[in-house]
Amino acid sequence: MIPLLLSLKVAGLATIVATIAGVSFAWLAAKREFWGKEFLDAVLTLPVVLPPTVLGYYLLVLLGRRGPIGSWLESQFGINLIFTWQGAVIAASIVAFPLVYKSARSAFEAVSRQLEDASRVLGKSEIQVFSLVTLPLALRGILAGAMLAFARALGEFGATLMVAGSLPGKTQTLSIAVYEAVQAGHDQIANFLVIVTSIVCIVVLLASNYLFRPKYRVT
Amino acid sequence: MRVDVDVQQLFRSGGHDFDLNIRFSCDEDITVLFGQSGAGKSLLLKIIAGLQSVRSGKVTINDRVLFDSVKGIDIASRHRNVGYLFQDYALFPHMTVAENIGFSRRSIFSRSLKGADLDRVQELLEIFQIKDFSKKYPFEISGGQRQRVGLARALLQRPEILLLDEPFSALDPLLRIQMRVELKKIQLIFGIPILLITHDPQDVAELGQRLVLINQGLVTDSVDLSGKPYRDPLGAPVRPEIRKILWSAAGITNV
Repeated sequence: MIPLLLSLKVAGLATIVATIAGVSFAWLAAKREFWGKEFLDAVLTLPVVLPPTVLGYYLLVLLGRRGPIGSWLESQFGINLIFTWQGAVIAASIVAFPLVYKSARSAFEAVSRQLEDASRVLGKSEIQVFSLVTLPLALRGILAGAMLAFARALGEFGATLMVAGSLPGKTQTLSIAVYEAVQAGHDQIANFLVIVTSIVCIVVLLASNYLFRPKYRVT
Repeated sequence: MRVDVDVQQLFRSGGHDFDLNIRFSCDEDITVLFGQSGAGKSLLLKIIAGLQSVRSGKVTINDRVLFDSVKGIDIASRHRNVGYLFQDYALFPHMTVAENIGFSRRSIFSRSLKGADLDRVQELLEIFQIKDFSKKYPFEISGGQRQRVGLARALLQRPEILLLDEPFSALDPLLRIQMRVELKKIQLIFGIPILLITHDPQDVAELGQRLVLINQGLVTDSVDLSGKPYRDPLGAPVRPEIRKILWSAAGITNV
């Protein structure tokens, strides 16, 4: 059960990080004009296109003791992210990020400019326009993206293995544990993990379908 | 109530240049902006509401300067206090009728209104005869009812002027007749001047006290219609000289 709990923790935190970052960038891309927007879009989408191991290697180079970010973290705060579950969260967040970003961007773009203008004329500031009109109307798309991100983070294997390794009880997430169990010939453990995972995924999907049912229609 | 507009802006989009240069004044209760589609009428309303920026000019409502490029004044939309009815009403689909109407008084943190604001919503629901639908969502009510909700929402904060962008174009002919009568009533009840865009001569004939003709970004004529009967309620034609102006605005000269 420990790999499952670890995976839920890692995927849950990664989903939160990816959703906050994804929604912010999506809002910028959908509602503001700036130079190099489509280039930024390409860079932000890269993690779904790159093979996870390539991504993991990049992270290893950046976050490792001799990497630019890793050495800075080490000297300033004494933090090392390689072979820790926090490192796994970072890897899963980046892999899952484009899924939230893409869905949130198209959800924000689908909110008509006119509705936002209507609320401006009705005396609302930009923050109020966002929180009363834009966000609620894009919420379904954002949550759908967050669901995909969670699923992607839960199944994350390549980048996580590169960055966090496979330390049982520490960084050995579910998908890695299944792989290890099969490799070691522990069929019973593998069967158990696979069935539990499938049940968790089905429950999450059913719950989200039920929760995201809208009570209004766009006219 | 007096409205003075004098704005210039060159719009460029995909090789098409559109030069907007509009200057007019009006102090009538209902002013009709008439012209073909693409003449710049909607753009003008957006400029007055502060939703579209312009390079140079001045917009004044009742001596209150909303925009003045020389003095560097450009009041944000949310502080202009204008009522705006969009062509398709722009009701918030995720809010009920009552929540739509009370929107301008709503805060981020609480879904419901209290005290005087709540009374005001009730009052508007009664004036517009939409009390029975107050808990319904916009998709559950008819086009005419949606328009009433849009008007009530715009009037809640007691704006200084009401801007209507082709208010009747989405309604069927029978409803149009009814809503024109209602609009005149509303104008009397609220005592608020109305600036209305249309390309329907019937609107000019029945509602207008001043007619401003707009053609390709320019004001080509401004006619005082007030005090004279311009149309028989049973459908007799518009006064001949007005008809001539309307026809020439549509590009027909020999009538």
